[in-house]
Amino acid sequence: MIPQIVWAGLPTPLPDEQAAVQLSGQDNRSLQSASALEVEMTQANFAIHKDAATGNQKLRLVVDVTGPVQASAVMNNALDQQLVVQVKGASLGKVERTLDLDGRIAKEVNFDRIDDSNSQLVILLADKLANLDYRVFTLPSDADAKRPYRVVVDINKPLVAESTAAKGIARPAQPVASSKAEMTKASFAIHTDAVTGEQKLRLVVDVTGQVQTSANVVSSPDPQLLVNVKGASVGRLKQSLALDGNIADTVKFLRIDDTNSQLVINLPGMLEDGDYRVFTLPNDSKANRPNRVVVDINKPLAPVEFNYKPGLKGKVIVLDPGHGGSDPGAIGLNNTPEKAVTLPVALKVKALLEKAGAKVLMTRQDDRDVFGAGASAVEELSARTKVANSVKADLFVSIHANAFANRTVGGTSTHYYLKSRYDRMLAECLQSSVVAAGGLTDRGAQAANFYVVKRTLMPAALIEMAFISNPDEEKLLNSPQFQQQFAQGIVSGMDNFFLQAAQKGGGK
Amino acid sequence: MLKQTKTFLLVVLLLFPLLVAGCADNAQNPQGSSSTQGMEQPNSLQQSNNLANSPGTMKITIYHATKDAQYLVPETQVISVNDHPAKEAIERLIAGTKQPDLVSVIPNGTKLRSISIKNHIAYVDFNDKLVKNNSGGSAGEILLVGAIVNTLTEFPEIQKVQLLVEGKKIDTITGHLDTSEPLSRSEKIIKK
Repeated sequence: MIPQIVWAGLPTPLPDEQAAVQLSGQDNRSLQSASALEVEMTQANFAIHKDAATGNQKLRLVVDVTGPVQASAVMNNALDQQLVVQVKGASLGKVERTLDLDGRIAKEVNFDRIDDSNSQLVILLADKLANLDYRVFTLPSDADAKRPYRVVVDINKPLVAESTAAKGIARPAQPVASSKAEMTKASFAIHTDAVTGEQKLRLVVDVTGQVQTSANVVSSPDPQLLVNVKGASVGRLKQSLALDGNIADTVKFLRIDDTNSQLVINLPGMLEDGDYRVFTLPNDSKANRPNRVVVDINKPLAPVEFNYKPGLKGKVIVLDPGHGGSDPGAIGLNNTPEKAVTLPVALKVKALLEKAGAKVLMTRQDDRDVFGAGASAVEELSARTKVANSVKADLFVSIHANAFANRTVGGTSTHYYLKSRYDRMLAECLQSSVVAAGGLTDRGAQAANFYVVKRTLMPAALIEMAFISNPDEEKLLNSPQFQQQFAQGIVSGMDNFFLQAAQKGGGK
Repeated sequence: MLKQTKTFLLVVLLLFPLLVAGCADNAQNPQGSSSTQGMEQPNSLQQSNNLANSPGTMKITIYHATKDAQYLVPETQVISVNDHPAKEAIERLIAGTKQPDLVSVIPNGTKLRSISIKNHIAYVDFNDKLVKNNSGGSAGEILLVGAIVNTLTEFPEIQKVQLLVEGKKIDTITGHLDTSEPLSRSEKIIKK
């Protein structure tokens, strides 16, 4: 949907003699290079664009230039509200020095010479605005459309409610090329990776200029992440901001001096070096974003309460044969439902474990829904995790078969959710053991945001034995011999895990 | 490396009719530029997104699976500027890919019912074919959810994605992934 365009002004080409006068005002050096290399502005015009759907209006100013340039913009609130657009790499050329704009969004634009190859557009806005919504970008030339290089300035018409809301602090006069940057805003969000489910807290602090950052973790008096911000004062930020209370408690904005600050982030526990990341992002006028300091902190692993001893004897293990009852799971080309191969493998694992002295609980022992008929997907999954959580099992292992649209794909994978220091260890022990036993392609131990491994309280893994969508592997999954081999692989993997976990001690 | 170059050439060839309309300058590296975007590098995301490369057009990036079902690969497409680029991106994702090395992740018959954005969260609502025509399997589920979330989080104004089916939150699609809460971009699933 192309915005409806209302032309409010037309470009005014300059007479040739006027251009000549302007050129003669420049020194010889620039005249010589002007023909070949010097980039200059050739014309400027603007239009009001009205969004057909929302009715929002914006002013678009387009300045044609004879070559590629760089453009950036800053607000200048000193007197009248001004948007100053710096154009690096182009002289003013033949363009008129002032262009009247629509008067409602912006009054006029003045073209200022900075030097032979740099210019500035000073746009006088119609109103003083706390948060001006603007975008500055460049467009390349387009021979087919007979369009030159362009600098584009979009200014959205402010909503009345917004401009009177006085939410934005009327900031004191800020010189265009100020070196005194300050923090203006701090916010945070928790992000969950769509695939692995790993969670992190992201703290973003907006600053009005470029800064440098460094960070370190201290354990005394309390665990803290200290982020030094060179080049920005704390500005008007409140002294502290409460964070999520889980990954981090609070952040305090400490003044060091007029141009340096420190973020003191209080943590519930110590962080390791790989668990946080601090970086800066430059301002991006296209997306209307200022310079930013970003702090990412990974969710800490749960404190470990397990104290494993080697061996399978006496261990409580919950086995979860994937799907069942009304849910067939994936279905192979020869109509084998996933639920019909996960159960026999789980039963074989159970027999082997019991022989070794472990206590085994099954989420299902026959072809049924664990929660009950007509259960929702999540009721069904939580019924399975409940079996393990209610008996405080040592391990939870879910057994599945994989599927994909491309029927040539095959192999074995094991999935875990990084909730304790044991989950990945368990997945890796199982994976290497079942790949050795099954002999299929090793697709690795992978972090995954899977419900049953995430919501079980003990170390847990979900094994995708093979691809039921692959006819060769479907045949294998149906073979009692393969099932037995694979079950043996699962049991050896568990045995290896208890040995490794015991060597690791309490997990710390 | 060779494979990447091949894919790149393919993308260029596919886009060729559109490129002559004026976007050649900005289609130099449709692969590399987007694979480092998003959560990890929000900056590069903003730089290559949502920008009119020539009047009337803009670039979007959608994701398809590799043939071995291990990774997602970005595909850049040039569309005409419109009010709902995120909606257009999902519709392009549903339409699939013509690249022979890639596999479309959306089940047949899936339709987009609506998409809305609130507080940087996109609420994307599909019809029930997303579940009913899904062949099951966690590999496909991971790639499906990853492709939807990564396609939408290419837009700077979208930070998280909540999946809906027939207007309701869906806890899981095929019984593995937890989709009950808004999800953020996944970089690890993108082929490097």
